[in-house]
Amino acid sequence: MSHDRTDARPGRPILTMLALALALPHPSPASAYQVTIGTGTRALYLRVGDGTITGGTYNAGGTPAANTTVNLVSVTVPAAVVGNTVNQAMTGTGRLTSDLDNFVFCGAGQTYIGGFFRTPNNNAATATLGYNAPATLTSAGGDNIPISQITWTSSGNGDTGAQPIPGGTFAAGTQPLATINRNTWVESCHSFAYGNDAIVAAGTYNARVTYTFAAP
Amino acid sequence: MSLKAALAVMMGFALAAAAPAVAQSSAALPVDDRASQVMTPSEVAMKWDSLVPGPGRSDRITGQVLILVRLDVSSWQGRQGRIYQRLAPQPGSPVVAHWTSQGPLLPGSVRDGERTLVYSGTLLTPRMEDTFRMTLEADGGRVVRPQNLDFTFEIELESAP
Repeated sequence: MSHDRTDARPGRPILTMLALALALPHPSPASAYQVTIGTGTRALYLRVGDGTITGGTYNAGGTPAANTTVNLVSVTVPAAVVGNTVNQAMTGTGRLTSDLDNFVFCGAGQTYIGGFFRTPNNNAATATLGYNAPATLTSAGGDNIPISQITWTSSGNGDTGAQPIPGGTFAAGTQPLATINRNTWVESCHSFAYGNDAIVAAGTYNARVTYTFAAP
Repeated sequence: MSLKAALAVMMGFALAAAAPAVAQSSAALPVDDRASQVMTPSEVAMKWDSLVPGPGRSDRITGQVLILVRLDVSSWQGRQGRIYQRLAPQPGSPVVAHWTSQGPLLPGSVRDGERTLVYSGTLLTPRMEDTFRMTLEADGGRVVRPQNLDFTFEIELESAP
């Protein structure tokens, strides 16, 4: 009945609550300090030709560092064989040892290419290795050779089976080269060759290919 | 059995159960550490132990954090007790915390879901303060997003008031 509610003393509920609070043996509130940890830093590393590592090899705890060297791969074609369609082996100038353990992974004249993609095991499972190439090699006189005249094979001293960064033929523009799984170290050695499929004007023909390594 | 007798038996049981609890006081009680401070930006930067991945290489990530620990033990001052630091379970990716201290608390380490002794003895002061230099370790492959680690302190009393 509403009459009974009116008769209830409004102070009673408050007194009850106080009594409960006082009855607690130790008024220790829930407490904790909280530390938030982040994920491991994502890292991409790519070495083409020369590379730099500080503090020893990777196995010795070394750390990769930036290296801005642009290595040259070249061939001088004897006049007698120009345009005879026989591939002409090109030789590079880059360092041949692996930074993993200083093992001489590449043979003379080969170009080392390797890297890794470091990331937590989330959805970003792979990184893409590619390159960007001009359409032609160009001489000072303005003559051109299609970039597709440059091919390469892939190998590695002591390796068996398929190489992680396979052989191929250059094409103009941005092109994929290999897909690299997260948290794996990859390396290959490329042997370049000039196709020598056409008679071209004498001169020095140059092109610069830029390798890229990207992760989503 | 009369009503009076029945009541007497029930009281006897109740007293028998309560007596060991008073003598041992072994139940863990939470310790108020609200005054503690984490002296680090909102997120601890975690670094790979081995930047370069590869067979046999560690996927462990580690980070450092400084903790100013302030425990309010005034409720138990003068009593003997053991204080533990507990790290809440981390089901997705196990975590281990190592710390050094400057005293009076002990250095040590704790895995998530477990606790480690940081003090044993008489609680001489109402408040205990220390500085923990803590190193946190986790599996970098399994920590795929920022992860909160909750540390608490609890006390087990060894003597009656």
